Amino acid sequence: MTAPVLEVHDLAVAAGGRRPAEIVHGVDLTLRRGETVGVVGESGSGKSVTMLALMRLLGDPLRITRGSVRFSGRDLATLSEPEMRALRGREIAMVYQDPMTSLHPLLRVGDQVAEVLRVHGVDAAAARERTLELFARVGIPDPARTVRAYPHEFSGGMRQRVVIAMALALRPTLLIADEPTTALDVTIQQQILGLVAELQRELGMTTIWVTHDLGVVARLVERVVVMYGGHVVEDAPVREVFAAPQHPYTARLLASLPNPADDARPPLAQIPGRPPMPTERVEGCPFRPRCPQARDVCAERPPLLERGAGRAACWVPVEEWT
Amino acid sequence: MRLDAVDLVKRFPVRGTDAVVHALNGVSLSLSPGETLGIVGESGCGKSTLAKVLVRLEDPSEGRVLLDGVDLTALRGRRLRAHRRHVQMVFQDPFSSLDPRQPVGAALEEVLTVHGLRRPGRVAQLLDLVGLPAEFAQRLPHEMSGGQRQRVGIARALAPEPRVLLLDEPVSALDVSVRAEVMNLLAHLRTELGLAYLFISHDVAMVRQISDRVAVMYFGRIVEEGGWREVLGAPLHPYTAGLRGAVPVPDPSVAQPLTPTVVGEVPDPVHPPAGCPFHPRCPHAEDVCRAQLPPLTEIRPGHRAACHVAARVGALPGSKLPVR
Repeated sequence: MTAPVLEVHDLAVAAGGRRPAEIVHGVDLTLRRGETVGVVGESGSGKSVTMLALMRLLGDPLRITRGSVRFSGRDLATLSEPEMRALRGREIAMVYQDPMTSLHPLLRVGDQVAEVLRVHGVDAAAARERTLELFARVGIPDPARTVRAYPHEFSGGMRQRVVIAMALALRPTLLIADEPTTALDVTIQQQILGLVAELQRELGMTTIWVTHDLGVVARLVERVVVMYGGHVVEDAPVREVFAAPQHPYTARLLASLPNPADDARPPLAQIPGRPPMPTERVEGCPFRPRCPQARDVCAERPPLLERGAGRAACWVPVEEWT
Repeated sequence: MRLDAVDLVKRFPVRGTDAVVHALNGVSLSLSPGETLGIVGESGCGKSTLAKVLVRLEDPSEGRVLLDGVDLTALRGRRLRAHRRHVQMVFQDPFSSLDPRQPVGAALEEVLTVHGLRRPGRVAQLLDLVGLPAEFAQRLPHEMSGGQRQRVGIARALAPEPRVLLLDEPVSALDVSVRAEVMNLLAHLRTELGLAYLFISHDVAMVRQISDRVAVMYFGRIVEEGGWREVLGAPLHPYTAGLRGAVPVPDPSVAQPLTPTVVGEVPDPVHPPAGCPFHPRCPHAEDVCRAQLPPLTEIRPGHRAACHVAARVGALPGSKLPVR
């Protein structure tokens, strides 16, 4: 078994100064080399904050309160800010939902990709050459002309292709993609998903795909990490998660999707109640107030337990579900 | 009450040039009482402009909107208001359509007052209708979850006692689990109040869930229209087929390659292609598609598509279905 590329252990994030409120409550996440993992959750589940935390990109008032992040054997907490900056981009790349997070509106798109290469030591002529190759590789038509365009002259899909070119310019070990196709049309999403899947195979990249879209997860990832209320509640191979979810939240979430093969179109299954607010304190299992399987034991917070082919943070085994 | 749109055209000038963009390019549709018509399409297809023109938030450049045969585009002032009451709109982002400082009850009272429909207990009744307790009248928008805010958005649309709701991406901003409850609420209200819906969305799965009939829009036109089973289950237009194929199936045991089912991007609306607007992306395009705009024609009973090839072969171009 290959060594993990990324090992996140008990990572917790809190918001606020004097009386900090914990919003991510001790996340464990391990990625092996070349693996594609989907981190799924609804808004406020803590999935994006967890990603920013492990990249050490949290802004005020958020901060890491405990836990460790090891990347390729190094403890990221011990790196200086310049070392961390060098690591981001070269070894860990990020792609966000809004491509304009990563693009400067007033600079030509080609120059922005070339700049990434130049900062990391590639000379100007080689960077120009490589940018043209990257544009072609990510499917931007007519690179010789389009490198000179400004971001506003591009569609959302083309901008996201530029960001992907930028992210992959230095052949990173790990790609963290946070809802990169959520703002795109579904036909463009399909093109981008296909492109990333191809590049991932080509470069042997390890990828974390953060999304709320279970369809995207089903198409793209090998393993799913389900987050709820700032906790990881399930972590299992993608087929098992969909075929035999081991956490009641995962089960209810999947049940709430319409079945595209069912012509009877029954009402969609609902999850009663609402998820906790990020700063809300829930004793015990975070899903307990909404859980049809909840019992007395759930007043104590369940750790991730071996369940089926993966792990789930639930005291009640599936066989005992009603 | 019957809502008809006849040959709607909406042109927008392009700033700084004499060019115009056709956001709607001859859209006709009809919505019978109690019926749900789903409008599905991607960004820039004109679906939101269509909704705005139908409720007269925008005036059409050409064409008419008829409510029980009365041309709304010809009405002004009080008579327009009296008719407009029957067609109400629900927006995607319930937050942006609510005043952040106004309690829910006051917002509903305001709508009731405008339409002369205030009566004791009506606010509580409206809240109850959308599954919210009467105490919600005191709440401010930020004190509610996304799902609760959308319920309020629906209550506000129902306040004038409309016959038709135009729902513009009503569940697109909501989380998966909340989406289910709002979809179910809409289905329930439709039966309870005998409403007709125009359900506009980019989300094929949600359109499939709620629609009786489905119209697919592309580049300012309806390119396919018919019963939901036919349009989404056995489409005739290559765009509909591609759109359907692009929706990621939430089941890893179903094989669905990530090969694009629709290549390229929507053409530049300032320089529209000649002929069929979909031809630059269509794998089945022929010479006629590059030269002539295909009309929306009935290819099978009750099932229309705007495709030269589909019209000729009587089936989805490239499909293995027997030619009729």
